[in-house]
Amino acid sequence: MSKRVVIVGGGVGGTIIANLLAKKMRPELKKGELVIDVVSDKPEHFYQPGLLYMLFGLKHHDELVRNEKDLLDPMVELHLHPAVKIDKDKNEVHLKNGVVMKYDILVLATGSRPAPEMIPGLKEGGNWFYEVDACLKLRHELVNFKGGKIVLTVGLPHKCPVAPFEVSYMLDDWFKQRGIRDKVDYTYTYPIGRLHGLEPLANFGAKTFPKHGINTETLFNMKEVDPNKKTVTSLEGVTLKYDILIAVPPHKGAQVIEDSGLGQNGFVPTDKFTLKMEGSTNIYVVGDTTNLPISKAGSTAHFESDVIVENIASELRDGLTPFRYDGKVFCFIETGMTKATYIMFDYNTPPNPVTPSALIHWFKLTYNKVYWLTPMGIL
Amino acid sequence: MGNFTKDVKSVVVDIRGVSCCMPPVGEFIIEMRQQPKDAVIELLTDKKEDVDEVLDWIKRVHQETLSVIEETGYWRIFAKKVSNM
Repeated sequence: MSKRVVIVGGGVGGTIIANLLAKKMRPELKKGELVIDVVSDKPEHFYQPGLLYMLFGLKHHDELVRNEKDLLDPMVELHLHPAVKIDKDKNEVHLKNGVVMKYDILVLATGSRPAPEMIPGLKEGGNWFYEVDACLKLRHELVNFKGGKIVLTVGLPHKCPVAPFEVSYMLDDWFKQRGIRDKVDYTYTYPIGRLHGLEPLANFGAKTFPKHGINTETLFNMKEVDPNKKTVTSLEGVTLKYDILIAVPPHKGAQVIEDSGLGQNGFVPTDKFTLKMEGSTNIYVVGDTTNLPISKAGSTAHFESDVIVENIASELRDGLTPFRYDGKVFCFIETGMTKATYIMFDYNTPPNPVTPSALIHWFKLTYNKVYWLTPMGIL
Repeated sequence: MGNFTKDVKSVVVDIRGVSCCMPPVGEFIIEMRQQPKDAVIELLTDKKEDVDEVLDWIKRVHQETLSVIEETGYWRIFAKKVSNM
């Protein structure tokens, strides 16, 4: 009797796992001893870090999209129907079209999404660049902006934790290029008492933000936005006026996770080393879907995927799951329109941003072009 | 306060053994905002220097600290979400 691995989610984590597992378990797949299914609610695979560049007109939507089917190993079955319920007691995934998929091993790769509706007035009064339509709307506002107050606010949790830094540095350069930097009053806010969750990055920001004319306001947790008065108020009682509000909305996980009782707000309690759902022996969790206290980033999903694939293969072949995730994350950080730095860290090793350079910037741009090799399991 | 931890079911946020990422106050903010009113959150941290930061934030946003317990090598902070935020 064949074993079945069902992966719910066709983002970077789900796709890498499907492809790496298909490569590693090729003999079993060919003999019909293993079936790998990916369940996704959309046919396209979108490269989300590209939105930062779309905001400045440096990337077009079509450059950031591929068909998920084209990225998947031919021996992986793709089901383009949303999962509406996961019954972990019966080992079942229920799809919207009524199909019930039984699994031996389940991978939850359902991701996260901005939830501006969690902050009163944010949808009406704010802008964000974490989704295509919102990004294009913000781009339009920025291109027509002649000067005034810009406030950037950050909700927790959110994906791509370095993006608020990147967009701040890039906007500084971009307004300079447009000759209106002296007319722009830019304020970066952050929810805790320093400029970033990663302490070395917070220190890096404290050193470099003044050189970029970026004002700061820490301990600022968005409470509400008043679109009429154009103000944003924090839980801590501070109100800031804005002409353009750029928000990183707090994120939520997938509705199917919440509806299935697998995790508050769609984030699944996960063992930080084994990456198994807490209390489960046959459910793995990857990327943004976990509730782990680490970055919700593509590279996190990438490094986690390696561990999950090794453990699934080992479990299916030997009944053992010896591999452990060490919290590894890697992020490029744009520090303007022409320079970048990077950070690499794990559970026990804090990051240490290197001196920004044009070389690292070009390396990031190159990776943006070759990203597709990552979900394919090649890079 | 002595019987408090036996009587109340709390949502546990355990960030012991992680030194790289969001500090305890950040993880605490995430959980506090996600939970419904009246939820009790229990934060486990091995960073003593961050305990005061968490307590200050709870006070600043008018929520309620129930208890702080020093265990061997780590701290348990219990707080109640007394109003929506």
